[in-house]
Amino acid sequence: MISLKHQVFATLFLAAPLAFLGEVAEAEERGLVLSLSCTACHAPDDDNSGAIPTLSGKSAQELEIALRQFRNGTRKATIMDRIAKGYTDAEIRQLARALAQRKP
Amino acid sequence: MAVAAPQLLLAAKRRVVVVGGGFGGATAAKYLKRFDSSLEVTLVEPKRTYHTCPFSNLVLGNLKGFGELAQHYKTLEHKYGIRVIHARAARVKPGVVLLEDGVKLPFERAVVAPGIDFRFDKMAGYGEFAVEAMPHAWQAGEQTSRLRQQLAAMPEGGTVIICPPENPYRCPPGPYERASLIAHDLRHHNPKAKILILDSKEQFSKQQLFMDGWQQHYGEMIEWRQGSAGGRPLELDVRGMRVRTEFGWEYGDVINFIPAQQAGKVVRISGLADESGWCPVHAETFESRHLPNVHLLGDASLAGAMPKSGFAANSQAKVTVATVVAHLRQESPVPPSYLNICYSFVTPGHAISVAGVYRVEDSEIVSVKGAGGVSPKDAPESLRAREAAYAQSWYENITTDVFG
Repeated sequence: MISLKHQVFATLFLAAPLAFLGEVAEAEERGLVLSLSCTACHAPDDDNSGAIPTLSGKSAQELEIALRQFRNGTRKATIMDRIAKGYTDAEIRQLARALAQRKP
Repeated sequence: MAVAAPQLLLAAKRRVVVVGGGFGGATAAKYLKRFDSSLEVTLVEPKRTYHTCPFSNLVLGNLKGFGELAQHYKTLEHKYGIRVIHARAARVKPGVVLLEDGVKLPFERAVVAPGIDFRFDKMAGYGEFAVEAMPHAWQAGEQTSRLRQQLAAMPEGGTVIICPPENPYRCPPGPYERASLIAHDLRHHNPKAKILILDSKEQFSKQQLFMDGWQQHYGEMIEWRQGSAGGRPLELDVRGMRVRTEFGWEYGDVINFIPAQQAGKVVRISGLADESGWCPVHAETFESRHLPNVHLLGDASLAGAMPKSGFAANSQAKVTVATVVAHLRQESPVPPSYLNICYSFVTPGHAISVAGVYRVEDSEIVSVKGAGGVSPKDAPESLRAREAAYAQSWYENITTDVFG
C-alpha cells in the first residue's frame, strides 16, 4: 500500500514537474494514513453481514459525499457525525481516495 | 568481494521485532507485512491463545462464554508470514530484543506494545496474594473466569463491590460497563443483590449516560460513590472480604478490586518508562524518547489526549508502522492522524459510545476540537439499540483487523 507512492511516481514521471509529483505522492500517503483507522470498525473485505456497512466497493466520490454529509449533519448517524467533524475538506478527499483504492 | 556480496544481500533483509501480541502488537506485525512483505517480522508473545479484554464484561454478565474471547496467531503466521515466537521478552536493548530464555533477536526497528502491569504496592492490605479472593479481571484470562464464578455463586441479596482504579488506566469506561452488565445478570437471577462502586475518582467516562441508563434499567441496584464522598478505598481486608473508606468498612460477597496500573514490566526494566510508570514517546512516530528505533505504543505509552484502549492501540499501530516502513525506505513520513472509539453496553440492547479524532500539534497528541464526544443524552431507545448492534459489529471487525 505504501508503494502507491512509487506507482504514482512511475505513472506521472514523464508528464509532470518534480515538485508536483512530490505533492501528489504526499497526498496519497496522507490519505492512506488517514484511512487506516476506518477498518477498526468497517470490515476490510466485502463481508456485509454485520450492522456496520463495509466500505468495500464504494467509489471515492460516494465516500467523499457521505463524509461531508455526516460532517454537516445532513446524513443521519450515530457516531460518524462526531468522527467526520475531525477532518478538513482536503483530508476527506484524500482519505476517500485511499479507501476506494484499498485492497482487502 | 565475491564472498562478501551475498552476505550484504542477507543483511539487507530488514528486520522488525514486535514485542507483545495484543491489539497494538498484533496489528503492528500484520500491517508491517501488508505494507512491505519483504520485511522480516518477528512477533514475540508468551500466550498461544489471547483473550480479548474488550467484550470480557459480557462474560461477567453471562452473555458470552469465556472461550468466545479467544484469538490465535495462526493467521498472522500462515497468511502474512510473520514469525511468531511464544516466549517472554526480558529486555529491549539498542538493536536487540533479549528473550527470557537467552535468545537474542536483532532488529533495525522494534515495535513494543507490552500493555499494562499492576501496582500491587499502592493499596494497604493488597498485593499479588489478594487476586484470588478479590479478582481484578483487568487482563482477560483466568481472572475473568474466576470473577464470573464468584458472581454466579453469590448468595441471594448479596453485595458486589467494584473498585475502579486511579487514572490513568486501561479502558476508562470499563468498570462502569462491568457494573452495568453484572446488574443485567443479577436482575434476572438475584434481583435483591446490590452493586456498590467505591471509586477513588470524582468523575468517570460517559458518566451521565451511564447513570441515566442505570436509573432507567436497574433502578437502585447500582450505587456509585465518588472519591470525596466515602468512595476512595483506603485499605483492603482480604480475609474479612471488606474495603475501608473514610466512612468505615464496606463488606462485599464479591469484591472486584482493580488496582492502579503502569506499563508492562519489560519496558520498565529496559529503562523506557519514566517516574510515572508509563513510557514517554515522540507524538509523531511513537518512537521511545529513551531508545531510538524503538516504537512504543498502546496502553504502555504516554499518548497525550488518547485513552488507553484496544481501539487506540490498533490506530496507533497502523499509523506508526506506516512511519516505520517509510523510515526503513528512507522516505519522509507524513503527519499522523489517530482515532479512538469505545462502545460500552448498559444492557445488551443499549449501548453508548465515545469517539475522538487526534492529531499532533506542537509535538503533543491532541483531540481535534469540535469533533468526537459521547452519544447524545436523552436519545430514543432506538439509537441506543443501533449503537448496541454497532458495538457487536465493531468487535467482529476489529478482531479480524488485528488477528485475521
